[in-house]
Amino acid sequence: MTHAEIRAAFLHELIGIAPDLDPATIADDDHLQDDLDLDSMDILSLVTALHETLGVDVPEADYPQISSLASAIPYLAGKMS
Amino acid sequence: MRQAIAAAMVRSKQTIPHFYLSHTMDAQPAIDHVACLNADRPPSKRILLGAVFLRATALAARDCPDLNGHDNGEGFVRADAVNVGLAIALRGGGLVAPAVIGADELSLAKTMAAMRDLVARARTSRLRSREMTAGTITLSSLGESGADAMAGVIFAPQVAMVGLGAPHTRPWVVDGTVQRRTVVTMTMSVDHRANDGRKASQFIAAFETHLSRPDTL
Repeated sequence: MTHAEIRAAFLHELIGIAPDLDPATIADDDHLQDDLDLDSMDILSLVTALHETLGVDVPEADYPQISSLASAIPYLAGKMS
Repeated sequence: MRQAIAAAMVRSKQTIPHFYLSHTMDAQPAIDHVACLNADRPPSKRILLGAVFLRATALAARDCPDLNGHDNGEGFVRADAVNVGLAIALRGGGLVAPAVIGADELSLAKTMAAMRDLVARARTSRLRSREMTAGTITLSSLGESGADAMAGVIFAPQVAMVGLGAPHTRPWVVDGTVQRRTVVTMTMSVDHRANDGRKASQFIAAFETHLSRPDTL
């Protein structure tokens, strides 16, 4: 998958968990918890969805790696390559 | 939503004489246990620390039945079951507190599954009316980050609310030595018509004991 495809998949799952978010207004460096108000259950739901759709199992220790689009896309690309 | 919350909170504060007890306790055994459980699990089977807190609350409520029940207008009545209301923040504002029915009878895994289900349905407005009224005690937790402590408003006609602050890393004395531990502060809000400080203190002690033995939850 290209970075653009991973970005689209990540945003799709994020919006599924937080439907009130507008993907057009999410900045790459917005922090999922501090800026977008996701809680620990939301993060776990996102990680579960990413596992199902991308086949990437993000261990708990790596949760900080997916805390924003800017860090999540290269992290997920690395895990998929 | 905001008006309904305001009305319920005003009614609670005007009619229930609240008192509060706080206690900070070591959460490190529970945090280590959750990390150990989750290390080998796919995301769909992982446990959150919140599920451990809910389980400890349910068992403490079973141990201390004088805090688990309702005021029926004439006095306190113990509940036959332990239904832990879980305060869930809604995106866009507001709170709901649906109950995990029979929470003292659930394993930790089933408690986590029940929490996932309640949060998902709370966020999509698909909670059942019984879940909204069946609570016998309520747990409100600040989650992973934020203030040390929270003193909540009792969800009438219940008589107790468990408030948990965000866990924080602190120097902590364990077996006579200072260690780096993650601790959590629990604040009990209690209806003084139904209970006194001694009963509330027993509840806190029971919660702390269960939290210190996470493998038995």
